[in-house]
Amino acid sequence: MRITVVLHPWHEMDTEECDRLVRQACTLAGQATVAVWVYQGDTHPAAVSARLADSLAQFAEKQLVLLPTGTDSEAIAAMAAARMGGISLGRCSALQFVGDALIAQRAAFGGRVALSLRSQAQVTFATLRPQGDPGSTSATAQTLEIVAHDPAPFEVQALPAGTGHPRIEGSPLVVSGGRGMGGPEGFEWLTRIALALGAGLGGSLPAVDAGWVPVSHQVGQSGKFVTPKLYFAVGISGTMQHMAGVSAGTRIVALNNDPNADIFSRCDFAVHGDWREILPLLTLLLENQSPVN
Amino acid sequence: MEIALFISGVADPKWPVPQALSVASLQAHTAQFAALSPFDEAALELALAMRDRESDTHITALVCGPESLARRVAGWRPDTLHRIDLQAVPSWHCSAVSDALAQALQALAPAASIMLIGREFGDFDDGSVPAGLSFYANTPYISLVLSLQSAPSGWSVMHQSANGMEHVQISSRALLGATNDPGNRLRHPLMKNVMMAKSIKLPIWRATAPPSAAHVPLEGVHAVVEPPRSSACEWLEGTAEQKAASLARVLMSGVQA
Repeated sequence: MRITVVLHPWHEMDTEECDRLVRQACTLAGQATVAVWVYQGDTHPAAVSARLADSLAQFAEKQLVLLPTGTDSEAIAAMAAARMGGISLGRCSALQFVGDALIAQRAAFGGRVALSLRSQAQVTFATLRPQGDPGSTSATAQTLEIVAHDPAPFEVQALPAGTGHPRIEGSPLVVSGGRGMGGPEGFEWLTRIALALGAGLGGSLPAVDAGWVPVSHQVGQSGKFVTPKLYFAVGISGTMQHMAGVSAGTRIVALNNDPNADIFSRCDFAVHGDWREILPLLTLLLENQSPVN
Repeated sequence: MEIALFISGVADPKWPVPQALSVASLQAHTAQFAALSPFDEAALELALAMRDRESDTHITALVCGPESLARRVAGWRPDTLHRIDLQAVPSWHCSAVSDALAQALQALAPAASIMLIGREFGDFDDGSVPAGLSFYANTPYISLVLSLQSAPSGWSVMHQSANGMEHVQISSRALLGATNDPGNRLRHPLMKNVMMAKSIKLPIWRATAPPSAAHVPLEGVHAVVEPPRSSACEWLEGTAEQKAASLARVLMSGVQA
């Protein structure tokens, strides 16, 4: 058995999470060989998947290929698996070897159903966000850096950034709004609050659908996974699809005008009220004592 | 110009999943409460908007759901519509689903120059199926597509990459994974087309399971139980001013921790 962890320029996990992924691979390994391949350079996901498949094809033993979670990771895994006649299990929450087989846990139906899958394929790909501390192991991994230069198959022009919305990736505090905001005005307050706190700005799928916040800020099963210390959820009901994008270790602060909203059974601090009354007051308070200003 | 449009459908999340969970009960649940996913809707609207602008556009819809979903899609009057029966393919086996979709594409819309698909294909997928399809259909893949326009030498696509928003110029066949955006919000169908869709004939194309389908047996399926709370929730009470002050204290402490 051989385990390869593949890192690339577009994954959505931070350095600490990637380290945990490598440690998770070592913990899984037992007697297996663990390698970490780091793809860098001016390349694109399809080219990385082709290079990866070609490189993995040299090994005769059974293989598990792990990638950090993220849209491009899932694409690389699926394309490389198809190219090799292997299996891509998708975004897994846990992996375990039982004898010669790999048992994977993964979500379906927007995080409401858990599947347990058994892969007996020669090459199995999975994306994984390690849950908790993988524990100690004597196994070690060898790292190989691969610098690739692959022209993109299309002409690509980057559009100027600067939506004015602070990024959620890596932020220790995320301020997020949902359908209950009722319109874009609330997001103007949330943006000011996020800027005052040095926080990221997020949104639920309905808020992105409505155009109140860009898709790059979407939190949830179909959006980004965030791991802040605090998650301030405003007008968010707390569906499983949304909460699947928030780390279990995150403390949740909820503001909602529906006293029966599911979010109130998941949060650490709860405020029942109308954001139209409370957010303007909160904004002024924070802007006057902001750690950022 | 021919567009192939893949529609997966999902179980309407407003309805709870069955208490007695099994593959069969989930299939029945999906059939009973079939709905377009936000990403299906985005892909459908991108196709319709292109046809509005380019009258020679021909949309072939390939609907991988129950008859009710196919009739719903027919209400937007795609030029051709086929139901794709994926019963023989394990839904959780993304590679096998991708392979089957590529076969359907080859059989039913081989001349398509643009393939549109939601960024996630149904309730069992989190983005693997479109990418796998791009391999089996031997076509480049662009994910997280928000808009599609004609351009002098082909098409112009706006998509969300890991580095930010990008414009991509396409001059050859491509698979686009649509994502939700206010610019591609699905329009309402015309009532006359909805009525016509009730009686339209829906041809079915049946997929066969690829040999690799047996490589990923499903060991079990169970409902996700939310983790128990580790601490009691603290309600911040009082007037709006008091609630705002309490919230400020909590949020500031989070920043300073």
